[in-house]
Amino acid sequence: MLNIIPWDAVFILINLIVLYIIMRKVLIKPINNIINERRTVIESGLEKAAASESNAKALEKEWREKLSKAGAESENIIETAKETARGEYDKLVAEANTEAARILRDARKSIEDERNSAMQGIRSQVASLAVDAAKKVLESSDLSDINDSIYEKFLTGSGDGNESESK
Amino acid sequence: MDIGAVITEELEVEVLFNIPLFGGIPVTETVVVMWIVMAVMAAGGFLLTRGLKIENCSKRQLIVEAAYTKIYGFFRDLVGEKGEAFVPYLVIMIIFIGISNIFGIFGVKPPTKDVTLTGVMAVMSIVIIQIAGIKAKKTKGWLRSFASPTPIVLPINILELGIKPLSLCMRLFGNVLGAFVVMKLIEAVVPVILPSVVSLYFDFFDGFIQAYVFTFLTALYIQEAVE
Repeated sequence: MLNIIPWDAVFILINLIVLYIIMRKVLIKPINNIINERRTVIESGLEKAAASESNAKALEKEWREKLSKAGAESENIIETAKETARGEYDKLVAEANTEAARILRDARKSIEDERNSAMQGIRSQVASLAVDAAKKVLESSDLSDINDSIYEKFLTGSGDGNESESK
Repeated sequence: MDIGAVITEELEVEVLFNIPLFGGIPVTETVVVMWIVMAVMAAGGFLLTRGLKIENCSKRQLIVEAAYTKIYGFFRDLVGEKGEAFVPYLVIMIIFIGISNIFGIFGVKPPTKDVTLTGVMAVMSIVIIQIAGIKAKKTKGWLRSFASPTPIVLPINILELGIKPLSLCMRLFGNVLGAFVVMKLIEAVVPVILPSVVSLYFDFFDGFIQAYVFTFLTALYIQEAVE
């Protein structure tokens, strides 16, 4: 009833082995390869992403530190600038004050000098005028023996009086 | 109609031609249909795996990859980590048996209807199961596994070496033969419409179920052997 032909079994065995080899090469290998390739691509991509993320985090930390430092530093700079400016201001004001005082003093002094020299001029002129006037009076009334120095004395005395009045 | 005659006729394996070597090597229908199945599988595999890409996969590639991953994962879970090397064999076997079983719809005799084929496949399976066991446990451990859990079961374990392939062989052969005979009978009684409907069950459903059962059991035996 069941006719088993030995050659049949041999052929079938060979066929099955050949089929296994062919299908491994044609179907299993390409699909496995592509799946493995994709896995490595994805894994390396994930690794890269993780690396760049940690890198970014480190950078962010660094920047945060820098920023907080920069805030403190800027405050510091502003403080010192204010300090310097205040010092400079005070110095300038003091300088200006002394300068102004000096100018005032100089001005006063030069006014004094001016007045003194003017006084001197006026004095001598008044003296010569008085002498002239006296001469003219003497020419007319012959009082030539009256000495110039007397007028001079008189005038100096009256000048002193003026001076003391003006003070 | 004599059912006995039909079955006897279907059990016969026709010799299609003889290779004129060593006094004539008979080439049976089973072998020729197997060649066709192999050609179909090789061509299909080649066409399906052409131009595979890592990114921007075509729909064809997505389907192929999804199906392959699914089947591979199924057997991988069954045989366990140690038996992973045998997963490709199981994947190829389930495809081969599945396609062979539905070859009856093309009017040829499905090769799995030949007890020689199922017998050879069952023997191959039991050999691979033993290889898996030797690989996983070394020869000493493999020999000892026959006497586990207690030495009393030793004869039963040895018997299993014959029983396992016999049951694998006969289950597949019987189912396919039965389906084929039933289909022939239905075709003889009602030649139109009904056969196409019933063939959905007998050829496709039963065919795939038997392919599944054969490889599923082989996977279970491998898992048992490597554990």
